[in-house]
Amino acid sequence: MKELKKLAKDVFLKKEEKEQIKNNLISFMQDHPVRNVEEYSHIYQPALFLKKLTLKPMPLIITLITVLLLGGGAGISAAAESSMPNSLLYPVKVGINEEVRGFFTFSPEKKAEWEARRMERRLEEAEKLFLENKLDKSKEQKIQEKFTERMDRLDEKMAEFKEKDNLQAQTNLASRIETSLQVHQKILDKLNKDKSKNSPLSSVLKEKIEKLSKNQELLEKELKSETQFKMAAEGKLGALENKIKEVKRFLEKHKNRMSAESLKKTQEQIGEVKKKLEEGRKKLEEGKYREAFLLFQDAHRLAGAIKVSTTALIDLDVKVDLKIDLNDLKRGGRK
Amino acid sequence: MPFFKKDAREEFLSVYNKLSEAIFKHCYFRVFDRELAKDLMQEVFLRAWKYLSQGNEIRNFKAFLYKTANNIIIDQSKKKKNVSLDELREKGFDAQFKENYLDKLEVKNILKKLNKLDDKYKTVIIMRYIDHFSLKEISSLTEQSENTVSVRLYRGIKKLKELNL
Repeated sequence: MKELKKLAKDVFLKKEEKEQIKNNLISFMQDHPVRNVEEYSHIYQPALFLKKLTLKPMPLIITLITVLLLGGGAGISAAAESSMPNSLLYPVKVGINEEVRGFFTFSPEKKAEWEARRMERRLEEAEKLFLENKLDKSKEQKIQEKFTERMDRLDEKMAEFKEKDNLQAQTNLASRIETSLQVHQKILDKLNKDKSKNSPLSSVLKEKIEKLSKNQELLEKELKSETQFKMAAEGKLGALENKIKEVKRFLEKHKNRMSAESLKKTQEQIGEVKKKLEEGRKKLEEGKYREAFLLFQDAHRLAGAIKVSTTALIDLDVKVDLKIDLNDLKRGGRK
Repeated sequence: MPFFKKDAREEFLSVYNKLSEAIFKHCYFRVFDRELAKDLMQEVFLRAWKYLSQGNEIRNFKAFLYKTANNIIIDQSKKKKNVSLDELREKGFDAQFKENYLDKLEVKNILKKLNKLDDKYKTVIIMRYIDHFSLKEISSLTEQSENTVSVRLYRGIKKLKELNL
């Protein structure tokens, strides 16, 4: 134990690392001010003022200067979060807020997760605008550009994981993106049906889903030995348990915004996920690792889909029938 | 609802200045990955601030931070099983080690042994010998009785000594 104590003394954080994290913390604190604090009221004024300006697209540099001149900070950043393409603060949202948040994280897996979330945000923007009949060609083009940028970044992340032989991170990321795109495609198709218009991005999503689906097949083929399947299954089980917790927390937070019927249905869907979890556990105990992995994978996809579709349900009042989608989501629609 | 003034931010940052290193160390010895340990430490403080910003109070910051760290690490460990020995060999020098005390081989051996322990033993050993918590404090942080903590420490140390790598 003496050696352990000595070792403890030897582990330290570099000064610049400590400072960097502190700066990240300060930015986060500015983005998440304490409620009922009067000191922030003077910052809200410039944000409100900006919203009343004529909304024209501005190059990022001019927006930054505007922000600095008005002495904005937490208020500007917070106001930017809800901005849409072509609004004055949209460059702040995608160019500053999202970049800064991405910079906060260190581990490659967390960075990839944040990139995936950014991609989803573009789709959510499109859906919202489409629903409100505000999606003109210029906004659509902007969203498509940003969406493609995000997908390119995600492709890079997956390539990085492949280079480092991190098969688990690669499959997790690919699976997450694939599920999310499938659900958003369903949402857009549903909106398209309701509006009798061509859904934006739909064909782009279809293409991406097919590509991801093929890659997933190849990735799964790389799992050959029982040992590899065992490791993959155990890793997936851990990820699934966390996903279930995440979905439950999300539901707890938003249940007041859901009808009793939709809440009940969502809880039933979570029940299906848990059932697959238990089935997978049994297979794991029996040493049937491949089957366990596939069960956990399906359950993980379904849990992810529940969260994406519940968000849509709440924000857009669109119901995505997961019962039908399950077969599509199972192994990415591959037969 | 508590009313936070500007100096509450300064107080929070002062807590960060005092405890960030200790939380980082704790995280490092639990996960043996420097970058991940930094991530986890940052997450601990972000969650603490978020909790405060929602109007909650934290009476005992140290306890809150260690409990939060423990929860985050448990979630993290479910995503990724124990680091393999090969990875550990590469990452063994990941932490910024001062070269004064132990040579590289000794460091490697200690980390290997610690990594082989079950998390319940590893946690109490780290809290005792790295974080320097008393049995009572460990009991409070892990929400186990002092007797359980004591038994886990004894068994953990015994297992460490039995491991011959």
